Amino acid sequence: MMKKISGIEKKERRSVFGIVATVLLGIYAASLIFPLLWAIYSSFLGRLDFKSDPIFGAPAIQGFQPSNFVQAFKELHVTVRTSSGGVRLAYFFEMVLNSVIWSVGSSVVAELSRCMCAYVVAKFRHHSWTRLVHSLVIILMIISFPSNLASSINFNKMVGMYDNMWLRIVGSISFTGAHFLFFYAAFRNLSWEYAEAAYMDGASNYTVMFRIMMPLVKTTFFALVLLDFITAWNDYSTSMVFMPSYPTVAYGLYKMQSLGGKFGSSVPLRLASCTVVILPTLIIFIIFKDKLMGNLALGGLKG
Amino acid sequence: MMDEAKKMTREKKNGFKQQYIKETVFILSVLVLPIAWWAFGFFFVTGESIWLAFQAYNIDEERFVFVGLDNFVTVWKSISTGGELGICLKNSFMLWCISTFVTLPISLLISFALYKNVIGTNFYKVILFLPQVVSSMVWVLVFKYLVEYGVPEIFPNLYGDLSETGVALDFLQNPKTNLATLMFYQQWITLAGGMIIYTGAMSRVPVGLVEAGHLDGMTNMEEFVHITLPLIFPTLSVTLTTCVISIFSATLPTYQFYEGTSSTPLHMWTMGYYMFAKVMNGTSVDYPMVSTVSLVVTMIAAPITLFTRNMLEKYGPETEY
Repeated sequence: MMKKISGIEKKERRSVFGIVATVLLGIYAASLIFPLLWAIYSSFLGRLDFKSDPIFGAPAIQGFQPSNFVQAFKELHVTVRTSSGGVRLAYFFEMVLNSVIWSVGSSVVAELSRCMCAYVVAKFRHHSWTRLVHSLVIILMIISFPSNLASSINFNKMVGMYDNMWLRIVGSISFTGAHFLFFYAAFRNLSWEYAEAAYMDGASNYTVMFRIMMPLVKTTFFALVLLDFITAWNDYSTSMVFMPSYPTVAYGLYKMQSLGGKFGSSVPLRLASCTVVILPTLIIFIIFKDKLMGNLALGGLKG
Repeated sequence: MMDEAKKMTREKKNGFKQQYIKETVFILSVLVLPIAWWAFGFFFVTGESIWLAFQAYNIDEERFVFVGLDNFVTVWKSISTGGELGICLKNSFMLWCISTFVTLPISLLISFALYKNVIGTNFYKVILFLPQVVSSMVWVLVFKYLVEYGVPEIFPNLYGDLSETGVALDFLQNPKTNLATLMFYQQWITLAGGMIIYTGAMSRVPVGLVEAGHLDGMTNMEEFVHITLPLIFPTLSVTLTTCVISIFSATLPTYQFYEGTSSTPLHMWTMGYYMFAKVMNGTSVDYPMVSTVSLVVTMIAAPITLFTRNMLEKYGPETEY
């Protein structure tokens, strides 16, 4: 349903601020859309057509080449070291599968654990150490501690998480970060009356948490899982640093830059790979954009 | 009668005690695993980082040996003489300044315009969210190919004119322009980064207050400065505080643009790039120096962060609404 615009809003839209802001936002939005449209259009071009006119040139020599996408699926690959010391090639399908498992697994585990911890901290504040946990989350956000990638790799090796996607998914369990504060704010704003009614009916703490309170923040949960999913899908470095045997599509794109052969000489083929990678997140975003872009409340840092 | 009352009080006390124990067991069952897991990782990684900062790899003995403060002296020399780390520190600080003093205010103004529901707000919200939805690798590659193939198509002589040697080098290859190009790219792609958080905070500003201001002749910019900014201050203080943490570790997508090769021009290095590339491209011999740098950066950034937070709390506007 279209939102009704009030008289004041109409007046503001016609004000100097409204017009200038609309024009500037339009320019910035165009600067974001143009490269993506260019990439998608160019991914359908032949190599020679692209070379003769790279900016939205007509497909005069080779015609449109949808086969670029088939080639991208077939030929985009990364070299992976095997446990026996040899090497093997991981192709697009394997990378997509790894991306799906990693993105879904890590985002659900991380947000579920944060949601449960935030519930306990927000609703059992009369236990002093839940307040301590809240303070710890805030301290960790505002103070950086010395840590480096080398030690993180060593830690992952020590606990067996290095190059083990499944253990890394389990290891995504967390109670820290801004997402914890989003859940915390959501639970703090919820009335405790729902829980009290359930307790009167003999419900346990777990029943109240899983069946009464957590469903009430499902919008926040869903939005944060989606944000995590998108971040994990787009992240090339985790696969590169911690799970080299489980290449993801984002890592595949990173490695594509150094591929020779057809990939090395054809920019449209590379752009076709890019188009294939952005489709899943773009589709998810289009379907769930209202949930993703809903208002996420975050308080200050006063612990 | 008295006995019954005492009995009731005792039962009530026992009931509360039982409930407290039940709650404690429940809370522990939820919190213990995530906290223990975090603590294990945190103390190992932090501990090893500090330990490594005082070590160096002895090639003859094939093991790490204690070297006291030697690594710190090396880091200090490199910073003070404008060596490798001096360049990294300068670039990181410059990037942080641009992000905090240029990009953040623009980002707030973008959010304010969307909150004021300018024409096309819903469309802009979707488009401005795209940098977070589309893979950073895709943005990097598309930007790179546009610079390499698109710009010469529109401005045929530009790269040749900019070059000192006459050899046409694109913005990302020309040493005179590549750092600025990467900085521009970083700000361009993150400009609307805080849009959801800021518009969310702005939408909770009481409508009555804004309407009263406008009836008194307040302009939109006055509303932004005198009403919106003070009322979203708790949210803004989170951003400002977390911004300060990255004061000396801010990084550019150099690794993505230049494929992490050791040929990445030194004048483009940042602290973040140094710490990432040294581990990815180097060997365990490089680990102590990386640890020392991370320790030094923390020692400088931590007090500044705490100071900023205290200042924001002390002098920031009090908001209750």
